[in-house]
Amino acid sequence: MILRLAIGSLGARALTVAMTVLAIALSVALFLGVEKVRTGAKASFADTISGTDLIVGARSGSVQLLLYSVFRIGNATNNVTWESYQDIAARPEVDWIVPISLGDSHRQFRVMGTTVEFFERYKYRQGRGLEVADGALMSDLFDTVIGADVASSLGYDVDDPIVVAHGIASFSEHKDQPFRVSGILAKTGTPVDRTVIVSLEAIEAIHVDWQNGAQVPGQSTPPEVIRQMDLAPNAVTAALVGVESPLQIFALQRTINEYTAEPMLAVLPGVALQELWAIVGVAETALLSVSAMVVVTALIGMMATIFSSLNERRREMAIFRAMGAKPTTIMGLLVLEAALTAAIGALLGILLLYAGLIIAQPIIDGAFGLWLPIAAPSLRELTVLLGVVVAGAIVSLIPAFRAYRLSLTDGMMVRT
Amino acid sequence: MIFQQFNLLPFGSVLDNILLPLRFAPARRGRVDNGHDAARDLCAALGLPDLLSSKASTLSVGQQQRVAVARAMIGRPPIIIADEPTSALDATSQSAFLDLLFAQVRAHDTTLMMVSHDPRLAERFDRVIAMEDITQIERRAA
Repeated sequence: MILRLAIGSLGARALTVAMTVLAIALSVALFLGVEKVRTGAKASFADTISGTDLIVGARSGSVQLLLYSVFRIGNATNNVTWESYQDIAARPEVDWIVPISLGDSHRQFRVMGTTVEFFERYKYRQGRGLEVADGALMSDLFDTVIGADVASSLGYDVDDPIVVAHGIASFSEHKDQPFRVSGILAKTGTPVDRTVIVSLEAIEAIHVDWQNGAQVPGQSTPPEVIRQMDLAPNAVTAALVGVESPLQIFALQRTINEYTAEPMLAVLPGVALQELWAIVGVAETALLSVSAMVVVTALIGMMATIFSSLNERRREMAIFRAMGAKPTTIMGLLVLEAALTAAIGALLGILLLYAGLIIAQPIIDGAFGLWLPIAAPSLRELTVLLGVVVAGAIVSLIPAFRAYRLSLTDGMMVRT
Repeated sequence: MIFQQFNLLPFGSVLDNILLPLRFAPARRGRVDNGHDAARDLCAALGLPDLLSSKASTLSVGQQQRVAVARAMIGRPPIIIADEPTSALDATSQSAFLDLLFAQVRAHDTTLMMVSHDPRLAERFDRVIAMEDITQIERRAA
């Protein structure tokens, strides 16, 4: 009955209570939403590359290797010679190996030379493969497959010509060997979306007339001649490696790291991603603490509402006192009301969150490649909800104590 | 305890209001077998129509005062204190209300202590103490 009266009392002040509930609901939805985006971003980040056991490159830092080989951020300090590459490829532990050659660009997008095997070996988001949305994979030397972002931001269609620039942010272009867009990849939410992919031989082909990073003046080999040439590369930037058995990963990693002919580095993508996330992760903590403060603000707002309602509720408290309720009972009633308000707010908040997720999930996935899973609330989220209710009850102790004092001094006197 | 006015929790139902004291007084709770039945009987005896489940704020002042009586009577307390319960009522309702109140008090063997500004009510009570007398006694003692 006390619970029913508490609910009735809340109902009598429906408007102010509804506002408080709304404030709590919004803050809870914001907090859980940030939490969702945070875990989703972390998972998306870790899902950028999967199915690859080792990334091999010239010796530098593991984060740096990951950044330039997978995220196309920064530059390789050095290349891996073709001999070393073939040496690793021939090792018995190696199941498959895909070379990556970087260094050129098209507009603001990186150009990556690789083999056709890349399209079947590169996996993201727990084993999802690349898909060609339009056109086909490269069939000719001067064919290119472009990522979804490249196509959309530059407005390219299949069969459009592309001229690759030498280096990154440079004005010297490989004008003599234009490429043709043969295919456009489906959106993945990974750096592949922002990559122009050509064959490894094509990278060699466009550099036939170049020496020491500059075009030899007056020399221009026509494409027909280039096609006849031996286009085996001298070096690659990095390589993605899959091993026969997971047990061999560490042995192969050690072998590569101790390779004597050339300083090389092999990293486990998962480990390097963790290292990178540890650097990026500071922002997530900041974001989370800001939204936690919003929850605290909403709870303090509720406290203010309870305080201001105390005066108009003196009569109600006097009736309770006259009926034999102890001052502590009145205090308990107020705390119960606050806990109820917070609980309704928390429930409404989680409903808001799921409604928002259902609407925003496809939009966010399309725009940012960020996949936010819609799942039952995790234990962590339930703890947050419970925490909000408990915090609401604790915060209400302050006005409840004032109500206790008031009901002691007022006694059974009816003040209106 | 019956107040001048505003006796009931406006958001509670009539039944909730009547049963409220039982919640806080174990002795009175012990004297009531079935709260719902007791409340209904009291309401019937007080001439209230069947409105146990309606909200207290929807009742007229006269009805509210009778509900307050029902609430005071439930669980047969030995004494009822009433603070000008009739001041919000007009003369006719006043005497009708007092008739009901006295009937209930007699039926339940309860002492009624009532404060009033209206000397006309005095004749219906067994003992009457005027406030002036109390203040004089207090002054003498001081």
